[in-house]
Order: sequence, then structure tokens, then C-alpha cells
Amino acid sequence: KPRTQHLTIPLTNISVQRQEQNVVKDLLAILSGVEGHHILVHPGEETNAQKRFIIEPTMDVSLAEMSNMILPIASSYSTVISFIEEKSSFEYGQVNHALCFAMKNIIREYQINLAQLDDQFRHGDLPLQRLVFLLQPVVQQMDILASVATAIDLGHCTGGAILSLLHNRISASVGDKAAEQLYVYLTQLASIPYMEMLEKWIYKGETMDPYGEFLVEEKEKISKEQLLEDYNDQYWESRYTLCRDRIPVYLEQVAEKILSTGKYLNVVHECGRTVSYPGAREIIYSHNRREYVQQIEQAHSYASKLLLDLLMQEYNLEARLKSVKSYFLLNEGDFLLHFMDLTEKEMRMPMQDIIPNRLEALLELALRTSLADHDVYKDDLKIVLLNYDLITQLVRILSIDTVEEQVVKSLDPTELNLTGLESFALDYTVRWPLSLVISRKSLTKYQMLFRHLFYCKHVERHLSTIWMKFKSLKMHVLHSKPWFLKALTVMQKMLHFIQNFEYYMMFEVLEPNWLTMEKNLNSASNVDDVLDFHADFLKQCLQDCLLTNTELLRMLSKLLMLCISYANYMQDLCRQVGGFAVSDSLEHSTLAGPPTAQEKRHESGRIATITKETTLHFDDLASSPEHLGLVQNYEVTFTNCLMSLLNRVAFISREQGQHCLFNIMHKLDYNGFYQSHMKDSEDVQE
Amino acid sequence: LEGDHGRKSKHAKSAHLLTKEQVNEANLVRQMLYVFQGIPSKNIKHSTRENAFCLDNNIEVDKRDRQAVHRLCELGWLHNRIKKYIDSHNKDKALGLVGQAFCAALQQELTEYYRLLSVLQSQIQQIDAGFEDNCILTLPKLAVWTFEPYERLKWIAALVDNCEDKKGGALTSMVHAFMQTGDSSSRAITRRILHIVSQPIFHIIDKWICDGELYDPFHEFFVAADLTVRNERLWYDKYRIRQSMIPSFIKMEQAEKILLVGKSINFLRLVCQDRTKLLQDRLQMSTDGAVNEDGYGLDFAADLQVRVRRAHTATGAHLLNVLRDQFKMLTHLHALRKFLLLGQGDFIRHLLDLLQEELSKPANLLYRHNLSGPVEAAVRASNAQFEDADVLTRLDFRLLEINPGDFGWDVFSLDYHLDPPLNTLITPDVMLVYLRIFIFLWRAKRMEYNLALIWTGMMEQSRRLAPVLPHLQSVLHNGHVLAAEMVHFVHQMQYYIAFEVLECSWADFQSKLKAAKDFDEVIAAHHAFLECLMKRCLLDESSSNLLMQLRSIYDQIVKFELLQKDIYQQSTFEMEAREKYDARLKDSENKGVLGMDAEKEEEEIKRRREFRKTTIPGMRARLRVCACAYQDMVVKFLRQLGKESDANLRNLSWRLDFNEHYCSKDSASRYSQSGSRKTGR
Repeated sequence: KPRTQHLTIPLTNISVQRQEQNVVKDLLAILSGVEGHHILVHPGEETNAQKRFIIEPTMDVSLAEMSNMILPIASSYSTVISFIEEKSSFEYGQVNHALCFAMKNIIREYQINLAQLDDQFRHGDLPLQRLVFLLQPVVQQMDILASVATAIDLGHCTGGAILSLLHNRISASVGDKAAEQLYVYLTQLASIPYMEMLEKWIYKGETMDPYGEFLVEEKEKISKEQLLEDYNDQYWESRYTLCRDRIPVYLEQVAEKILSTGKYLNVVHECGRTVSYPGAREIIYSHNRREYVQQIEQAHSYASKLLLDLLMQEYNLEARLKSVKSYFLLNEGDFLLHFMDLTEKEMRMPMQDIIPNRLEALLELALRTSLADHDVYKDDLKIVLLNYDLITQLVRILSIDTVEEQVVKSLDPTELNLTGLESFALDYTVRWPLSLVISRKSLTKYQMLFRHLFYCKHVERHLSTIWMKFKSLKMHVLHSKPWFLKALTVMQKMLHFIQNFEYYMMFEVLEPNWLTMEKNLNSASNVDDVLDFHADFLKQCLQDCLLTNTELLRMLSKLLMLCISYANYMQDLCRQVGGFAVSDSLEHSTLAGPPTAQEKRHESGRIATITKETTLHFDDLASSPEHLGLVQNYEVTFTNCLMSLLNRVAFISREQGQHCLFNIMHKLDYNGFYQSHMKDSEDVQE
Repeated sequence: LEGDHGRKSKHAKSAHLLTKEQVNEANLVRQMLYVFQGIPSKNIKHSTRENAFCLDNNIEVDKRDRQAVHRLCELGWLHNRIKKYIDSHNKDKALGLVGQAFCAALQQELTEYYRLLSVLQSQIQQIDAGFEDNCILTLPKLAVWTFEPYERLKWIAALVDNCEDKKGGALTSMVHAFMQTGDSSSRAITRRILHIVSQPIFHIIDKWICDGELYDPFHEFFVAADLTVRNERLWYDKYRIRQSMIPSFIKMEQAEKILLVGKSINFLRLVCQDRTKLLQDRLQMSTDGAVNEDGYGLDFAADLQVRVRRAHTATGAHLLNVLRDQFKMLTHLHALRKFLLLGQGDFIRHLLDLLQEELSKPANLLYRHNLSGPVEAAVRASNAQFEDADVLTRLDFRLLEINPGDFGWDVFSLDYHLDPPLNTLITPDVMLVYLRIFIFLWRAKRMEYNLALIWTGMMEQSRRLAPVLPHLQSVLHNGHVLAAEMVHFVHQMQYYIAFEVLECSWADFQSKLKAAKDFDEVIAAHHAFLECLMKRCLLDESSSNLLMQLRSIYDQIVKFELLQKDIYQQSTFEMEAREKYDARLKDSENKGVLGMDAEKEEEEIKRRREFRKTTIPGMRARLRVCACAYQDMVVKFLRQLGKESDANLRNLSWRLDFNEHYCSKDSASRYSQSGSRKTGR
């Protein structure tokens, strides 16, 4: 081949001076990435690997050694160049582009440097020694660039990771001023696009991140509408998330703040407002002076205040919560009483036969004729009929992630024979952005609380009605008194239990917790706090109303069931005996004026006959031993149940330090009746 | 330098045997300058095989220089690539304005590049002339000089590659996509190009939103016009959005707004013949434009957004003003409400009075000329006469298509003629909807009217008949009860229609009209209004079943009317016969003859008995059948209403059945059904 002729000139044949000139020229070529005559590129390597060079063996040994001092530059140079070429393409992200830009700037300087050296060489005053001397700073520079390039290549870094890497390098090279400066230069340029994204995010709440580099990741498919429907929706947690490995080290501390800043702004944005942060300034990276942290913090406090004001003032979060409370937690109970009166028939029907519209209308009637009429949000209250009762729902929720999960799941998911009472629940229309706070999840918790309270109220009501009926019977049934008194005592016990339990829930659980939350809300400085306070409130309420402990819950539901079945039994009895008497005596019209003498006489006569009849009936009934046994049975079961509940509560409050629960003891067993009972039974056992 | 030359010459000598031409570095540099412009030089030719510039193989060049030259040659290749694009597309007339702008931008970049080359050239010349001896141009220096241009051309070439077969908005989008780089120098280049490239688009937008002129000879704008569409359908069909041509920096909603603005202007000009206010608008816009001519920042379209918003509010408001003031949109809508939706009660009542007879005829015996008189008379006699003359001339009636068996009632309909531009709001399709609603309302009205007539008839007849025919009393009573039931039904229906449907929807519509900012919103509001009416008047598809029920209830009322007539006829006949007999009896009594002859008396008694024993029970049975059928229908109707999702319809069912009279019937029947089913099992 004709071209190989140069190689045929052996270096040994010429003087060392001439050799030196040739070597310098070759070196200059090699440095600018061109293969020389005497120094060749080691062939057959992978393209990414560092280039190695072959020095002609005939070269003067000292010259060869001198060359070896310079050659690392060339290999670094080639690494850097291939790095730039590769990472400039779009998919590697903007930080890579910016870094390449910075490297290119340095490479340009380097080439100018080379051109000057070349010039000097042509003028004949560039001995090898001088070249080596002049290139000394470059050796380090190129080495740094190459090491950065290899590190990024190896780690497949993009975005924040690159910035972290560079930042760490700066910290690691504080002693070496030149290296530090170079790193700072690279970092500053490389962080420009990242900082632009950051500005967009914390000043406007927009993500402009086509290559997935920014620390905040947006999941478009999680939309805010789901908040209203999906029970498990995590809009607030999952719509925007931090991507740990994309956070530059120097933003690590403020990452959460950055995330929430943008999130707040986004919410404001979604409410149809335009956000413009007055203090928006360019954020510039600097290694030591952490101005950007301050800027980010300012933006954060602005955004959180903005959103908090929006929620609190514009959307009246507190009033909203109050409204929710007044319905779900029976704050203003008159509407519920009214509603229960109105829907007595419906509540007893099977769920399938209930016309939801009718219930809805009745609810509205109840709302408008009660205190709730003053609530501006009352129209948002709805009813819903769920196809599972509270206990099933709770057990199912509680059994998640426990051993029983499979068992519970395998049970038939829909009970078909639910009554209206069991399937009834309130619902509430919440609109964006309040749905952030009152999401489906928290609304479900409210619903559970409501159903619980509602059921208790129902039990109480039922018992009270029967109590009243029997009270009026009392004047007729004198003969069967002992049995009768026994029955009433059991009922009184039950009433005592249910009323005190309700009292406990309302005044020792809901009200204090509510007050705490209210206080906290007023002092909240950002929306995350608000969310936390609200969640805490609900959690505490559920827990103290015994809804989170499966065991307690089972006991409680059994107690309530006992009450209901006893009330039903008594009602049956009452209907058999003196239904007519009760209804008649109650129905004296006051419109007709005071009863005349004749009417009075007639009335007393009637009462006498009724008394006679009922007494007969009652004696019949009561004398049969099965009734007496039944009542006694009820009493024993009830007492046992209640005692085991109390036991359990005492145990839990002792063991787990939940002192609120202990108040139940004080309420239900204020005079130590059951305690002494317990002791007695223990004694008996012993 | 001396040494180098010496070495070179030595090499040359040693290589002399191979008789290769020697090319020294200065020569190469000189040749490179040509290559940089894509021109092949003496030793550096373009090789199509490798698609690159190559040094001749048969010349003698230092190996190192050869590599350096090769590297530098890429610049020439890039240059050619861009140049080729410019050349091939400059002649292409179909490329469009954006393409032209793109070429111009590229040309500008190349010019910048040429300037550099000329500087280099002049350096060489200076050396040739002997000045500045120590500053000759070497290949390494050339590499330094071309470092930046190389990056630039590479970037642009990539851009060109990607924009190869794009045009218009798509091209702008592509250039905009290149803005997404972190490299600030490349971004600066892209911004420069984007600025030029987007100018035509902004220009077109400007023309479009100021003058409504669609200056788009090359179909590159994102609004497309269909020139075949006539003015009546201009608003709906003429303009549409070309999805692919929306530049990526303009959002979809913004594009829609732009479309709307231009459309409004065109509508004003072509349909409303209005040109007044637009000039002023344009003046405003152009001064704005001058201020912001060259300052598109990073938020590229922020300025545009402001302008579009302003143009949108201005044109929207103007168009609505023109429609309101000049074309009396509200007056005509009111007129439609008054006549087609029976808002003008006295007029309708009068019309019913006048047409009663005519419309009872079979439909094929109806003639327009017979009807126009009564309609005119009704207008004159009622408050409708104080309407705008314009409105009254537009009021008309039409006879719908005749189906066999139809009566006049079924085919008569009022009509209202509209001119452009209002027929864009109320298109023939919309008019048909109005007519359908009218027919529904008209039928309900007629039922009310008929029942009122029946009621009067009843009062009159029962006064007359009851004293003479005591046995008839129960029949009459049954008739009254049924009639009262029907009156209740029809009145509640009327109430529902008048207050819950018409009045509420109308109020909604009015408030929406007031809040509307552009014509599209007006159209949407009107559409929603009609849809609401259709839904609540049971005219939409989903409630066709309900409508049928209602229809059959009405038919039952008509049947009842006939039945009632029949009963009265029979009874009147009987009464007259009796009266005649009594009169004769009296007559003969007066003459002194006591009693009748036995035969006549027998006959009289027989007839009376027959009336009592057969005719009256027959009547009663017929009435009962009628009542039963009617009640069944109502129950069915109510049951279906209760299932309806619209709360208003459910309310209607409560209204009709306020004391649960029908409900109890319904449950009773269902109970008996289920009971029988149970026993059956």
C-alpha cells in the first residue's frame, strides 16, 4: 500500500532531535483525535472502552516515556467526544444535553489550545518538554471530564442522578481548586434545564418533563374525578409522586417541599384559578450559597397559604366539615329523629322493595323541617342503600391483611335479605377541591360511624317505645307483677346500657375529638396538615367507638342484637295482650274539648273491662313458665355479654393504654354493679 | 515552519518513485474552504458511494492531515444536506408559507455560515498577499474555527431531516419539539428558526381573528373551510379544525376559540351583513401586534392567548349584540314561546274556540283557506294583536303529513318563519322539534278544552234529565266522577307542563342567554332548552312508551266524550218520549178523559221498564268499562313514571296521585297477582 511508506521510515535512523519533532507532531495529531505515524491507536477494542495507544518500539525511550505522560489526555478526549456524541441525542434527557453543552465548551477551549500549540510547533519552539509542561493542566481537566463521562455511562444516569453525581464530585474535590472549579462549572450548566423545570413546577405547578428526569412524576391516569367514586383512590398521594432516584442530592432536603408546592399549585389550578407567584425568580445552582433553598421555601409557603386560604375561605372547609358532622355524627339530632319517625315503615322493609326516591324525599322533608334547614349545604346530603351491613363491612375491612382474610372473602359477598335499616346510609356530595379532604375514603369512615350511631339510636328508640307501652300497661296488670317487674328490669338494664353507650360515643369520643381537630385546623399551616388532622380525627373516632377491634365489635353487635330481639319479643307480647288498650287510651282527641261526665264514666267503665281482659290474658301468658324462662334467659345472656365486654375493655385499656375506652366502664358500670356481679360469679366459680 | 517544509520535501523526494502528486497543507486548507460550501475541489471530491466528501486516493497527503480533512469534510456534507432541502423546496410551490419561512430561516443560518467562510477566505488571501505571515491558516486552526458552525449545522441538518415531508402547522410543531433540549446553544438556534417559522401562522391567525379572512392558499392552517357550504349552514358545517395542523404550542381549546372567533366574524359578514365594528377591532389588534412583534419568549403562545381571548370576547359580544338589536333574537324567541309553546293563553283559547268545528273533520277534508281565517281572527281578537308586526307576519300554520284516519286535530300546527341569520339558531331541524312539542301541547290543551265542554254539557244535561229520569241519577253520577277524575288528570298534566316544564326550562334558558358570551353558547343553551322540553314532555326516544300511554289516556278521554254523548242522546230520547206521553196524558185529562187507552199505557210502561232494566244497566256497564280501562291506563302510566330517572317526571307521578288513590289500586292489583301466583305454586 502506498500509504504505509511513512511507517517504513524507521525512527532509529534519525537523530533524537528529529525524532522529537516527529513525536511532537504525532502527539499533536493524536491529541486532536487523529492517528499519528509513530503512535498508533490500539486496534480491536470495544468502542466504549478507553483508547490505548501503541508507541513505535524504535522510538527513543525517554521520548516514549514523555509521550506516555501526554497520551492519557488523548484517550480521555476520545471518551469525552464519544460521550458527547451519544448523549446529545434526544432520549438521554435535557440534563445530559446541557452537560454535553458544557463539555463542548471545554473541548472548544482545548482545541484552541491545541491550535496554539500547533502554531508554536510550526514556528519551531515547541520541544516535547514544553509540550508536556503546557499540557499539564489539561491532563487533569480531561481526566475529570472522562471520569464524569464514564461514571454517567456506567450508571446510565439521567436527570437528577447526573446532578447528584456532579454535586458529590464537587464536595469530594474541595481541596483541589482547579478540579472544584471545573466541577462547579459543569454542574451549573448541567442544572440549568433542571432548574427551569423546577421553576415551572414550584411557580406554576406545571410539569414539563418530556424525558422523565424531574423529581416529580405525574400519573395522568389518576384523575381527580375518581376521588368522588373510588374508595381506594389515592389522588393526593399518587397523582404526583417523588421519584427518589431523580432527586439531585442538593435538593434532597427540600424534595418533599418541592413536591407539595407544585401539588398545592396544581389543586389551585384545577379549581380554575390562574396561579402567578409574585416572587418568581430564576433559580441558579450554586454549590455553597444555598439561595435556592430559600427560594423554594418561599414558594412553598406561598403555595400552601394560597391553597389553604382557598380551601378555608373560598370553599369553607370548616363549615363543610361541620355540616358533614351535623348529619353523619348526629350533631343536630332533631333531623334524625324526625327522619326515623317518617321512615319507620321503610326501614323495616327488605332493601329491594324500598324506593330510594321516596326515602330521598322523606330525608328532604326531615331536613327542611328541622334545624338543618339553616344549613346551606343541606342539599348535598343524599341517601344510599348499601348491599352489606355495617358489621360485615367492618369485619371485612378489619380482616384485610390478616389470617382470616380468605375466610371472610369466601363468604357470600352480598346478603340478600337486608332490611332497610341495615342497608341504609347517608351519603354526601363533595365537590372538587374539597374532595381532597372529604374523599370517598373518609366519607366511608363517616358512613360507618353514622351507621353505627344510627343503629344504636334505632335500638334505643325501639326499646323506649316498648317501655312506654308497658308503662301504660302497668295500671292494668297488677296480678302478674313479679314477672312483669322482672321483664321491665331487664328492659331497664338494656336501656341504661344503650343510652350510656350513646352518651359515651357522643360526648366522650366525638365531641372532644372534634374540638381537638377544630383547634388543630385553625392552627394548620398547610394542606397536608389539614389532611392529617382530619384523618387522625376519623381514626380516633372509629377506634374509640369500638369499631376497629373485631372482638369488641362482635361483642357489641351481639349486645345490640340481644336488645333488639328482646324488644321484639316484648312487642309481640304487648301486641297479644293489650294492643287495643294502648292504642285506644292514647287516642283521646283533645279537639273535642274536655271529656264530659258521661264520657268519663264510659271511659272508666271501658278501662275496667280492659283491665279485666288484659289481666286475664296476661296471667295466662305470664303463668306459662316458658315466658318466665325466656325473660330470665335474656337477662343472663345480656349480663354475661355486657360483662365480657367490660372485661375486655378493661383489659385493653390496661394493656394498650387507651384511656378513653376506660370511660365506658365508668359510664356503664357507674356504681360498680357489674363489677360486684363479676366478683360474685368469680367467687362462685372458685 | 522551515523544518516542516524540509521534512515534507524529503518525504516528497522519497516518494517520488511512486509519482504521486503531493498536496501540501496550505493547499488542502484552501480546498477545504470550497468543500465547506459543498463544492468539490481539485482533490476533494464528493463520492456518492460513501455519501461523503473524500480525498482523492491517488494523491500524496500526510496521513494525519488526511484524517483531519476527512473530519472537516463532514461540514460540507451537512451544508449540502441543508442546501439541498432549501433548493428542492424553494421551487416547490405547494410547500406553503410556513415551508417558505422555514427555508428562509435556513437560508439565514447558511448566510451566517458563509460569512464565517468569507472571513477565513480573506485570511488566506492576506497570507497570499504576504501580510501576517505568522498567522497562517492550518488544519487545527480550521478545526477550531469550524467547531461551532459544525455543531450548528449538525443540529439544523437533524431538524431538516425531521421536517422533510411536513408542512404548515405540523412543521411548526416539529420545530417546537426541537425546543425540548437542554443544550442552550441548540435551543437558541431552534428558537431563532421557530420565531421565523411561526410568523406565517401568527399572521394567518391575525388575519383570521381580525378580519375573518382565511388566507391559507396552501392548506397549512388549522382551520379549514368548505366553500361548498351555503350560508344557512355556515355556522355548523363550513369551518372545521384540521387536527394535524395545530402547532404544538397552541392548545386544542385555544384552537377551538380561534376557530370560533373567525367563524363569528364570517357569520357577521356573510349572514348578518354587518361590517361596522370590525375595523375598530382590527386597529386595536394591530397595535398590539406591533408591540409584541418580536418578543415571543419561552412561553411561546402566552401573548397569543391574551389576544385570542380579547378577540373572542369582542367578536362574541358584538355578534350577540347584532343578533339581539338588529335581528331581535329575543323577540323572536319570545314569539316562539308564545305561539308554538302556547305561552299566549288567550290566543290559544280563542283559536281552539274557532277551530273546534273545523278540526273535528277528517284530516283530508281540511283546506288551508278554511283555516287561515280563524287563525287571523284569533290573532286580531286576542292580545297577540299587540305583538310586533314583524312577528305577526311570520306567524303561520301548517298542515302536517296526513296519515289515514287522522283528524284535523292531528295534523294542524302553528308555524313560524325565520330568516337568516336567526335560522342558524333555529334551523329547520330545530323547527321540527318545536312543531313536535307544539303538537304535544296542543293535544293536552285540546283535552282540557274538551273536558271543559263535557263538564258544561254534564251540568246542563243532568239538571235537565235528573228530575224526569230518577233512575238515571246513578249513571249520571258515575259519569261525573269519571269526568272529575279525568279533569284532575288533565289539569295536573297541564300544570306540570306549564309550570314545571315550560316555565322552569324557559327561565333556565333565559339566564343562560344572559350569561352567554358567544353564539355557540347561545346555540348550546337553546339546544339544552329544547332537549329538556323534549325529555320532560316525554317526546324523546327513551320515553316513547310513556308517551304512548299518555296518548291512549287521551284517546280514552275522547272515547268517554263520545260515550257521554251517546248516553245523553239515549236519555234525552227517553225523556222526550216520557214528556210527550205525559203531555198527552195531561192533554186528555184536560179534555176530561181520564187515563189513556190500555194499549198505549202498556206500551209506555213497557218502554219505561225496558229503559230502566236494560238501557240504564247498559249505560252503567259501558261507563264502568270505560272507567276501568281509564284507571288501568293511569295506573300503568304512573307506575312507569315512577321508574323514570328525571326527578320532574317522578314529581309528576306524585302530583297526579297525591292521595295515593291509584297507588293503592296498583298495589292491590299487584298483591292479588302475587297472591294468585303463590297459590298457583
